[in-house]
Amino acid sequence: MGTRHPPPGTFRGVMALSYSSHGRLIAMMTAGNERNRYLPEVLEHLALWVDGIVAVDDGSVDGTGDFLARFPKVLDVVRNPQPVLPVNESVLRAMLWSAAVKTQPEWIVAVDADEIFEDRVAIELPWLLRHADFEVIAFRIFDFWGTRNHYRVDGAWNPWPRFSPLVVRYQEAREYHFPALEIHCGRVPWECRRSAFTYYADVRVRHLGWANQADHLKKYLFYREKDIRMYGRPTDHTESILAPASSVRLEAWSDAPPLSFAPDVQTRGAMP
Amino acid sequence: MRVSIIMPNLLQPDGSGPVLGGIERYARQLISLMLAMGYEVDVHQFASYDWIRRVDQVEVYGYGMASWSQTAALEAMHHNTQSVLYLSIMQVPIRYKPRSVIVAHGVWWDGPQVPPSYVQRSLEQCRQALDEAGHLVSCDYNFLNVMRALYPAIADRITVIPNFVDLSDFSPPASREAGVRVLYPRRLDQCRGADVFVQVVRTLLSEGYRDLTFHMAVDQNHPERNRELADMVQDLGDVLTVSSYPFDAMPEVYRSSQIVVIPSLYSEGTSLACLEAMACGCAVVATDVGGLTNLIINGYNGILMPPRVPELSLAVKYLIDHPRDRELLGKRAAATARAFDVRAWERRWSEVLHAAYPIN
Amino acid sequence: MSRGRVAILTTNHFHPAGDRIIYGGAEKYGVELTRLLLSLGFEVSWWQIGDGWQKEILPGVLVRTLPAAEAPYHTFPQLNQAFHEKAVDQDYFIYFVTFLAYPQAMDRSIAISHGIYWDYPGFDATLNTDADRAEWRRRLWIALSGPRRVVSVDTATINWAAATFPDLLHRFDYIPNFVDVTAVEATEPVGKPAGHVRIIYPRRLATVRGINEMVRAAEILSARYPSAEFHFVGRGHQDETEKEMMAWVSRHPGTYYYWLPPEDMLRVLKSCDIAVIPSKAAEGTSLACLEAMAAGCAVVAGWVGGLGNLIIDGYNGLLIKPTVHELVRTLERLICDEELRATLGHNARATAKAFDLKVWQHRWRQVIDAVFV
Repeated sequence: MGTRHPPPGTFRGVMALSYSSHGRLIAMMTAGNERNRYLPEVLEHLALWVDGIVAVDDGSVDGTGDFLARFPKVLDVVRNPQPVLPVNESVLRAMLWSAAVKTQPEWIVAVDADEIFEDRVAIELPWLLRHADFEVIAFRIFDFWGTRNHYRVDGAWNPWPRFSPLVVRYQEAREYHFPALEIHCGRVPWECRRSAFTYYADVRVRHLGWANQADHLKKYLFYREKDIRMYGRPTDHTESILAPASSVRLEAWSDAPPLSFAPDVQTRGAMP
Repeated sequence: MRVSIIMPNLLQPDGSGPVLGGIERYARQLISLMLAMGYEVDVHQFASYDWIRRVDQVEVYGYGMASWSQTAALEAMHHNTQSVLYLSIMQVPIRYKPRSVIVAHGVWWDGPQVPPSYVQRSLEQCRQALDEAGHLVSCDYNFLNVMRALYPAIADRITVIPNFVDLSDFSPPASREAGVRVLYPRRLDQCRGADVFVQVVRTLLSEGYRDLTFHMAVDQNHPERNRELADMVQDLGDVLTVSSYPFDAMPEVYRSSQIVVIPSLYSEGTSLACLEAMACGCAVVATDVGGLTNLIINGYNGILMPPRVPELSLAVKYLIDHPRDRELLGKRAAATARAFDVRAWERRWSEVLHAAYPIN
Repeated sequence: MSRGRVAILTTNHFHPAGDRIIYGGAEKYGVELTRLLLSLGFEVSWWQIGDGWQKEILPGVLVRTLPAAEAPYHTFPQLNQAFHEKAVDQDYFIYFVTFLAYPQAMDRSIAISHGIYWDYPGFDATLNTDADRAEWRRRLWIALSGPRRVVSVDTATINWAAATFPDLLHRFDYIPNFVDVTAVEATEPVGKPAGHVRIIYPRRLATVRGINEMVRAAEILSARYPSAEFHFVGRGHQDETEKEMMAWVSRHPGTYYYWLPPEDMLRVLKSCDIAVIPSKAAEGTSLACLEAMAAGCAVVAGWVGGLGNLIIDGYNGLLIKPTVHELVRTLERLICDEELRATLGHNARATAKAFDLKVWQHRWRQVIDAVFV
């Protein structure tokens, strides 16, 4: 049994060694009062597979800004004295993007403060980043619902038909912009969202933002207000946040078995 | 446990001697295996009058009825038998006995200018065999492919057992003589491309290839065809010789040939002659017809060409002009032929026989 | 000095909406064919179904779109007509899939048959009546008899045509698919734990490609052989399939499911001992099979379509009836017999050379020289 599933600790140790040289990969994220939610574990996981992290602290009052600044791989933290997200998401996104491109990345991954990529990203992404034939890598995002083990699949929550562009190649000579939308303007620039050269990856992203039932009402109210401002009424998707348990369909998450490809897995991977 | 083999002709219709052909050789090999496995075997075939012969421990029954109705003959055969193995798909109306094994030797209706009605009838015969067989054994993957393309729902019943070669009889010579002999080792049926071979010979001669010999090792099943051939090649004199050989003389015929041409035009399974030539280390030029494509990988263990004179001539010329490649292809042919060892064929057949005709 | 303008008609190289690369055998074929034509001095353009966008398949080679939808009997007469209207300034034509030459084929044209695709039981259901099937065959006959030559990637199609349409006998050229042997040999394999036998299913997960049988066989064998790894590498035909596979591998130690771009997949392939291509139908001379052969894997393939053109059972691979029973039996034999694996793999590598890209290019050149004059 033992040779195939090394405990996470060892695998993560191996992960750090498994990628060799590829273009500089910078993670960019916005964070508003995330210090006591998932931010610490998100940053720790990111540190295993990105070269650096750039963040915008969006008016946090819980020490998120300082926490970010102190984190080893964080290269830059832009601090907004007041939150910008509730006002205009595209402004926030553009701010984050300029901060990220200042670090001269070859690739940028747009990750939220409550999202963690599957472990195998550390093995597969370095390979993908060495490619010249695509500019964007898209991933399925799974919304964990009230638990860390199950994600929601009814209606528009179904992750299986959708891939979101999260990793983009940055080319200094090109122009990038975010459409002037208050909300749902997307995490990556417009130019990256309809690229013919998008690679659809098997690596999945775990979105933990809904994993705590207690957060649901607050988030519902936030989106509801946005919807009314933009469309005049809440969307069905927003309404479904408060759907009764009987209409909520969940699936159990299953971990992908770690791939035994890392060069030195023979010495480190074999275990009782 | 007695299994009766039903086939058109193991012996000549008048019972006078064996028919020399691929299906008949197949029958002999299968009978020998079945006897070794402990089955009692007899053979029922079409004939010009009623006779019984004994061949290699096996009774062969000739049904004279066949001279006026093959269907009536088959009915009589059914009446006289219990467990039956059909050595080929019948081309006359018949209801196969349930749970029987039927052997398919390849597509036979793929010739040029074949009337659509003949194609239709042949397809229907195959479909019926597929439908009614307990097991259908195909000698090549090509027949299976064609059946699957036409009858995908029932093609699953086919088991492929590619043809065989006896490596203890057919093996490469220790060394080959200098000089080049190009051999045509097939029957004189039109589908086997004898005329194509002659035209290839003429093409080569007209292009100045004279330092070599051409030989045809053919059958005598239809004497008028031998006469036609003799007339056709009369003017070539000694450059092209024609002979017939008993079966056990064939290994030497292959061993003394450097290049073997299998110019089948249609109606081809996994030709025994091709396998024998390969096993003897000859450089083979074959057409991309029927099951030949399951034996030869073009440029690896032989040359595969469309069944046309210019292309076949080109291939033979190449082999004449490139002795090293010729040797390499021949060596690899011998190596790949090992995969068709008769022992492997026997193992596969014994599985099918055990399943179809369980011996207690 | 340009040798002329070649227009290639296909259904889709890019996803019809123009926003996604499709990695697949047919796409690879298209890219290599384009490269070859360019190297021979032709100008090349591609035409496919789409709504007006323009992309490049290779630098300088445009993909243009034509409005069209599929018609009954699996043909695209609308696309065919639009193509002939719009591509009037072109000199030579290639119908990338045979049925696109219906109803009309230009004079100096070549069609390509990528294998029999109508040999699975479900196909019958798409043509409900005998009349429908006859019409489909009639259209296919017209499509096959129009172009000057038809390049077939396998002999199965040629033989099927001979058995079905006796008067199409001499228009086919058998040019089997290719593998870039040099590139495969130069590829560095990924690591593998000592003593493991790595088995790969290197295709899209599709019923017709035997995924269900392979999964069941892997269930049985992974439980029996802890040192065997079963890698399923390829996208599913549907999202549902991918979901189920991800869940399945998490329940069965020793099984893995993922997908990678082709070059990275090659690195994995080179580390594998056994490659399984258990196709049940709709198979030409699979590029994946050729890659696995060139990579030195012991190949187990279904006895279908063009796979019999590549594998000689017992010499450079094993050809089997693609059932669970046969898969288990055959894989077990290979798992336990290192010497057999080595022999088959060695011979596979040797035979793969006969399908090298250069050989393919040479054969194609001959057809091009004969037709594009």
